[in-house]
Amino acid sequence: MSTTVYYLDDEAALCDIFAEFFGSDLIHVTTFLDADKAIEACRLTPPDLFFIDFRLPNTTGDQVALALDRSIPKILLTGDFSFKLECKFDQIISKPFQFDEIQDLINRYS
Amino acid sequence: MPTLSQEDANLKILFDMSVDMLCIAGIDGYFKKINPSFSRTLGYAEEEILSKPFYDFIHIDDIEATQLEMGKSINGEVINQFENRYRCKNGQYKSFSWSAQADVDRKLVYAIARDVTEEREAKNVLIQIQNALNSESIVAYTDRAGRITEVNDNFCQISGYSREELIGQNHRLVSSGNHSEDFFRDMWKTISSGKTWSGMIENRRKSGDHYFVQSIITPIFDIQGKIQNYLAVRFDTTEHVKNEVELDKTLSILRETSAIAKVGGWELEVATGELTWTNETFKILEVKQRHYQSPILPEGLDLFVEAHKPIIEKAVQRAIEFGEPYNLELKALTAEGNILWINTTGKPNYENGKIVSLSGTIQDIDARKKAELKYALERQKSIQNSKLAALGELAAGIAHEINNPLAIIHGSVQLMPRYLEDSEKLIKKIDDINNSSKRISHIVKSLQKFSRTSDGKQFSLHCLKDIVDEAVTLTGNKSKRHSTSISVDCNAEMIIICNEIEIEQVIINLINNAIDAIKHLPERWISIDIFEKNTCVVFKITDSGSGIPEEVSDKLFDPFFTTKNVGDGTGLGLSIAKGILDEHNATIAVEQNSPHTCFTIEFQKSENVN
Repeated sequence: MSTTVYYLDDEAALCDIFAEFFGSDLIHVTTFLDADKAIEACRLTPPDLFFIDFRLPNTTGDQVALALDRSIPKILLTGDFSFKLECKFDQIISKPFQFDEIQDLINRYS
Repeated sequence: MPTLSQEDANLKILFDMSVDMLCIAGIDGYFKKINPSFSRTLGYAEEEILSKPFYDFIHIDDIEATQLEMGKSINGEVINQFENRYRCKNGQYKSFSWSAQADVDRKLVYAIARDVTEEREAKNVLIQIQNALNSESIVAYTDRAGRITEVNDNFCQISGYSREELIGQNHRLVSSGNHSEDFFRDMWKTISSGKTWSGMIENRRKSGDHYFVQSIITPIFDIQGKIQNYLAVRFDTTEHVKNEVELDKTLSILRETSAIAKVGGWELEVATGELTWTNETFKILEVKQRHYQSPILPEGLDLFVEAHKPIIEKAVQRAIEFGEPYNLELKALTAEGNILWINTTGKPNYENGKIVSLSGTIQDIDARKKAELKYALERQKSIQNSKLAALGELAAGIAHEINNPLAIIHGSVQLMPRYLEDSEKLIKKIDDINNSSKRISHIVKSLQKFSRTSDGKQFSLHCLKDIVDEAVTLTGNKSKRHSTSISVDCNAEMIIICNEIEIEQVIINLINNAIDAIKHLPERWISIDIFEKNTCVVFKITDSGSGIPEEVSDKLFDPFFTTKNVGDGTGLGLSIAKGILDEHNATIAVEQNSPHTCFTIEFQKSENVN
């Protein structure tokens, strides 16, 4: 049984790295540069785990998370020090992140 | 010649020595005999008097009356206290008072004359005074019980009562009722003790109108020294009182006006150094008003802070010596010890070509001056301040800006061991690392600017496009946060002479304003165009807003003008921007013909472009 992981970040290079590192036969990684597309995808195929960047064009990871089904586990990935959150995230990981840390999370939600 | 008896001799002595003039006159108009007093009084020799008809010596106006009296006397009437005037040898006239009795049979008149010139003159003066008083003033006599016994026409005229209505009445008849009982009690106490009272009395006419009289009331004593009645002399001062009321009204309006404007007046008497201050001057300088003593010049000069004392002293001295007016903004040190900014003016006043006084104003300008100083200070600090603001803005996103490329580098490095055999993927990672590190160094370079202090007015050649790009970078976080796109259109290198930091500041300010103005609009974009126009380099910034109302655009560049909420804006940004641009010989204006909000700055094109 494969695990579906979504990653939303406007930084294309980071998306590539994320998919390259964690993507495998068992872990299906889909990355999004655009928040609306990610939200739409979640509606159609809810992921097992969703990594969301905080600072996004026209919106924030927080606002995106609010638009998602509450049952979807959400991890905030951010380079910011301070931010206000309305949505409850399952975990917050700061950039630059250690792959091990991400890997542990993916394993936990698999 | 028969010898005189002793009695006759005595009578002769009496005749010769008498101060009164004794004579025997004939009905023919000649003196038959006169005593030496005639000569002594009139200055003629006895023979001269006897040689002419006595009518020759009498004042022409008195001849007829004298003839009449002579006629009466000859007919046997006793003449008493008949007065006529005799001409002296020196041409002057003397008044004689005659008593005479005739020996009708012998047709001789025996007469005695007394020189009453002095009494007559004194009486004349008295009559003239009485006449003058009667015609010019309101006169009334009152008996000791206060009943009117005599009034003149003026009294009747001003009071509106006839003489009959007044006489026998108490003065209460004309009382206005506006004086206290004490007022009249004091007056009666004064005059009944034998003293003269004077004061202003408000009375009432028969018609009910009130009138004001300045009154002098004096007791009249009889020969025994007892008060027999009172004389009241009054002058109508109603007009004067009315004018005074008007003047008071005008003055009080003036006082109120100057209080609102916080303007006081002052006058300096040069000779005495005495100062006259208006109420407001006392108030501004917080000096207690003293009715018994005017302030003097040294006291006035003392009401300035130490540093400004020499300035005001010199100004006053030059005004006195050379007539130079002055207009100074100085710090006053009030009597209460408060320091406040005042504007003081002074000018000389001449009399016969000599400066006799100085006069001028003193105005509390503390609020304005402090605002001005605050503006200057803000202006000074503004560049540093807005740099800090931009730094704060940057700091909020700086972690994100650095951490993102750092995350790319970090991730790439962690992936690279997998691609040791795959050079294509390896090069891709190396490129990612390279680009990310460039991004970080660009951010750091932008930060460098903040470590530089603006050392003022260093002008050098700069490419306007570069400055604009920097400004766009520095406001990038804010524009991103509010999802505002910023486009820059520039097709050539536009070189201007400027202080790069200041101009960047102006542009950051305009971009920030634009973002703030449109952040609640559905459509959010900012477009910057840089182009040449004639001898100018034009910087044009347009945002998606719908323009600035004309009534606002007039005040846009005024200090402390802001449309933002209190606390959101200082209202200084555009005024400082204008100040900076003025120093660059550049102009800033709001484009009124644009459908969107649009500011244009025109710089003079630099001539020595390499």
